[in-house]
Amino acid sequence: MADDWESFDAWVRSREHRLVRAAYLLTGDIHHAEDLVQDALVKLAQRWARLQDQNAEGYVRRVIYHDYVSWWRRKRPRLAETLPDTEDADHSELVARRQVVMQALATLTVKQRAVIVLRYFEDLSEQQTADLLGVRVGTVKSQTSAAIARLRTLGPEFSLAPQEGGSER
Amino acid sequence: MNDADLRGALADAARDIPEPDLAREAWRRGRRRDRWRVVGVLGGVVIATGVVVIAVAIVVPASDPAPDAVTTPSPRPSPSAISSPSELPTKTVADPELAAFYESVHTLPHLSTRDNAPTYVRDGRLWYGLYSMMQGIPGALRAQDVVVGRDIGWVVQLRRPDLVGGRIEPKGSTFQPFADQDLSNPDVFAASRDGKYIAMGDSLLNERGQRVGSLPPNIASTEAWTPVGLVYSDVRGMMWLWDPQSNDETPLPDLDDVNTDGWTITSTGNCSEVGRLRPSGTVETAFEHCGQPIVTLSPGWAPGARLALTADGEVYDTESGELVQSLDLPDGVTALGEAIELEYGGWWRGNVQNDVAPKAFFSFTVDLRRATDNTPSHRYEAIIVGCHVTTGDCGRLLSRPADSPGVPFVWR
Repeated sequence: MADDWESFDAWVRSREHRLVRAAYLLTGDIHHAEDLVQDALVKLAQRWARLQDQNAEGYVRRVIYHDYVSWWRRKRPRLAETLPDTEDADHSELVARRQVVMQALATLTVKQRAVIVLRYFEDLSEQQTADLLGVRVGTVKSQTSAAIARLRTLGPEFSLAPQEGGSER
Repeated sequence: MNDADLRGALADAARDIPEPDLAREAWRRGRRRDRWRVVGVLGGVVIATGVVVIAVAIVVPASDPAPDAVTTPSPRPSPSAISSPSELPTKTVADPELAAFYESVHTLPHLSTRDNAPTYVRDGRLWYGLYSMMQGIPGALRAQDVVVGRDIGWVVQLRRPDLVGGRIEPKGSTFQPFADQDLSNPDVFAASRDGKYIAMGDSLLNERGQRVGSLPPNIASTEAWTPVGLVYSDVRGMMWLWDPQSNDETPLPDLDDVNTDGWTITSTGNCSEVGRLRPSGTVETAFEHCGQPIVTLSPGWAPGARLALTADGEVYDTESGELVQSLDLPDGVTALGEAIELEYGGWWRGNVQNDVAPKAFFSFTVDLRRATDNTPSHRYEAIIVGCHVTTGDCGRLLSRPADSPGVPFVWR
């Protein structure tokens, strides 16, 4: 038990920050993001002995993204409800950019948003993204294309040009 | 903006997210729920075990107890009768049916090994044990998850290599996959007690495994299919009651656990309550206990929630409120109680028929792991205790029947 806890603790500590950041990009709400990751980690804890030597990270990501889709279906959150407080004036530009990004993400469909976060924040390949979401690579491509097209309509800062082939990792 | 710009924008947007500290709470909640999951699964195992026990009881003369059993006739034991750890290895209840039950339970070697102990099904029995041990059982099917509808055999998920849902008939190891498979959420898997409904992923299946409808959209995991409907959790951990016929969803109060008989455990502060879930979603309190939390209940057919086991080894009669047994756990357990999480699992045995068994037993393991022992030879220790529901007699299960392939329990 002690060994299991120690290995679990070490595993979580090395990944939780990035997982929560990804979840924040998905949900637009830091509290929901932490809940999403926490719930995934609870499920991981239940299966730790079996998964620690396997693809625990893949499992957690899969739970987070599937739960995110389920959560979104139920909650249908408003745009970027809460953002981390940042009073420091030095961060004002960062805050402004973040608000633009989060509001832009909030205009995407739940699956488009998941694809964008997985591809451009988590740096997963199209195949990895497809595997994680349980969809075909073609679906990932079409969702990515649609998401980028949507973002492009939001302003010049999102005039992202799809890079055929070059975006595949 | 190119790919790199978008990556940079996303990274910037998430840059100020404070570093979380989620490990300890996740571990605590995960392990707690894991215990209940095991209890729930084993609750189902009992149905099958009951069949085996009945068969064994028929072929084994009542005067022919388990080979290692010490059958000292004893009246209902007082707590002190089994209070000394040194007595436990040789102490059993003098009941041939219980002895037969003990014999059958050797197929469930050790709960503490469950993390490495996939469930196998062969010859109409469920097998828990070390993977290496079970590899030697020809024809065994490895079950990822097991739920049981009464008289319908086992509804299982097998990993081969992907999860496949299906049914194993009561008398055999023949696996019949469902006609429709929904693997959208492996945490949603349950069967109603009559076997007419199966929850799998986002889908409601009929008894032939054909998709006949959808589950509530907020379902994240199944807890138990009770007589009043399916209890499930949403992604926030809130529990709901769903009636597949009316499609009504009712939010439930905060429950620690609910079993397939509809009995609930609820904790409030330092106290635990045993209650009965009603179709309205309310809980009717039947028993309250303050102190160490209640960890498991006897099931409805045994008869219902008659006994409650607390974390410190006390067994209460929930109908009379009386303490019927106090298991004085070894010093090491008590001392380590705060340092490591003691794990209790329970499984229950009763009549597989709908009528209430005249005799029924429950048993549970107490798994002891030495937190201070970090050597490779780190060993598990465990006891298994059985109690007679109707008399309250309790005794220790012999750890290793002569013909058991199971790992030996160590008592020090």
